[in-house]
Amino acid sequence: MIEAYWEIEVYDRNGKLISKHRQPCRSLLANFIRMLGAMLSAKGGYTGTVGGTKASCSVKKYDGTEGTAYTEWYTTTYTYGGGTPMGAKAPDDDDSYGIMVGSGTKTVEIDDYSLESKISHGTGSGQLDYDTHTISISEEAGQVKVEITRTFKNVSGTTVTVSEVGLGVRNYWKQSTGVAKDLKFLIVRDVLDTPQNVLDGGSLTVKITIIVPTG
Amino acid sequence: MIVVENLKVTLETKVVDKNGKVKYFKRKNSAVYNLGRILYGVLLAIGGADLSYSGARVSCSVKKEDGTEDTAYTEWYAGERGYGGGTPMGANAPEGDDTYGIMVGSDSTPVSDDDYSLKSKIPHGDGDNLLHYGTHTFEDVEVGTSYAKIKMSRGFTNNGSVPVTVYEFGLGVRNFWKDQADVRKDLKFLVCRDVESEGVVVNPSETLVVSYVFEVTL
Repeated sequence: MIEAYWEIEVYDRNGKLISKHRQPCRSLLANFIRMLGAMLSAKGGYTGTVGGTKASCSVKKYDGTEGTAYTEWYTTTYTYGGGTPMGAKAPDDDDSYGIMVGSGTKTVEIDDYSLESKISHGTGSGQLDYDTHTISISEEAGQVKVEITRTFKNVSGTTVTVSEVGLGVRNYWKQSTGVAKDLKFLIVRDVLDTPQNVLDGGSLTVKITIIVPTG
Repeated sequence: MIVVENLKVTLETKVVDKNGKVKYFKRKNSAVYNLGRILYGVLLAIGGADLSYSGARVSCSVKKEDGTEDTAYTEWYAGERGYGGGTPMGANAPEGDDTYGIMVGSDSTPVSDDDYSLKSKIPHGDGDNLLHYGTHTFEDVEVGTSYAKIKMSRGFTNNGSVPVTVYEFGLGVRNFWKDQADVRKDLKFLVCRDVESEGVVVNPSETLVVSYVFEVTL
């Protein structure tokens, strides 16, 4: 029902495309199924002073320990309550969720919970500058396509090699008095068939296209 | 390029007679545009909003049961009232509720991309030509060495006196957000529809069990 693929483009310091790579996304992870099940297990329909956690699931966090993600939650008494179950649109410079890249080559396992060796955001040696995300949807005959794109700039002074890619999401619920839940975890991880070298001054654009066949 | 099916969704239908014997079993599945739309909305969310933030921060457009478009919230915060929160795509409709969750119908029109409702839903009830919509069950997530899956099911019992033939199956979800004072969004929409052209006959006292299995594999 859902298919996906990665597209990786590498540019030099002049913005010239020097490499383009496309491969299937082979690994939606167990965390994705956990969240899908928990979102579907929500009921809705509560009114008035009903509060608390009404639907949730256990997911594996980046450190491998388990955490509880909410998929239906209401504050009790406090104002400004609400949230979101699995957002992926991390802002500029945030390397903790959304599309992330790494230098690991470990074979993907269904219960992977982190990139093997994430390349962190920054301008130092071995780092990449994480940009904002672009997320779009298009409908065509027989399918819906959701595209998530992020660019990574190399201003580290040396070449950075990317060999793994992943998609992390954020489970976030808050109220006026504080954050009730802020959990980030991986739902997709793949090892690139061909590692990509990003030269100093160049950039890497990573896009995951999720296809939902319809009809 | 080889495209890999990352998520398999299987619709399982079986009819159980009054003695508990399974007399029919079949598998298939189809999604409609709305599934992609709400998945898009969910992933589009950001999180990390300031503690005083209120309103719909992220949303998407979906097609309701009447065919008109509406806005589903996927990141929402209440204002100056307590008990705020919600859920973007719940499917766990309670017993007797035929407005979302797994639903069945009597029309055999083939599935199209932008189907937004069952063409002829069989309503909940215990009379003739009705089916009693049961609760939903969700099995625990099963994680194997190269797969992970979850199964949700609902039973439909014929408490009438004549056979009921089911041709179409659907999965509807509920986008629901509220605070203490009011319901701020209550939107139900179809995300899967399937048609079994030969029909599935549910005789009096028999129960049709419909399951959706969601599975990822490496």
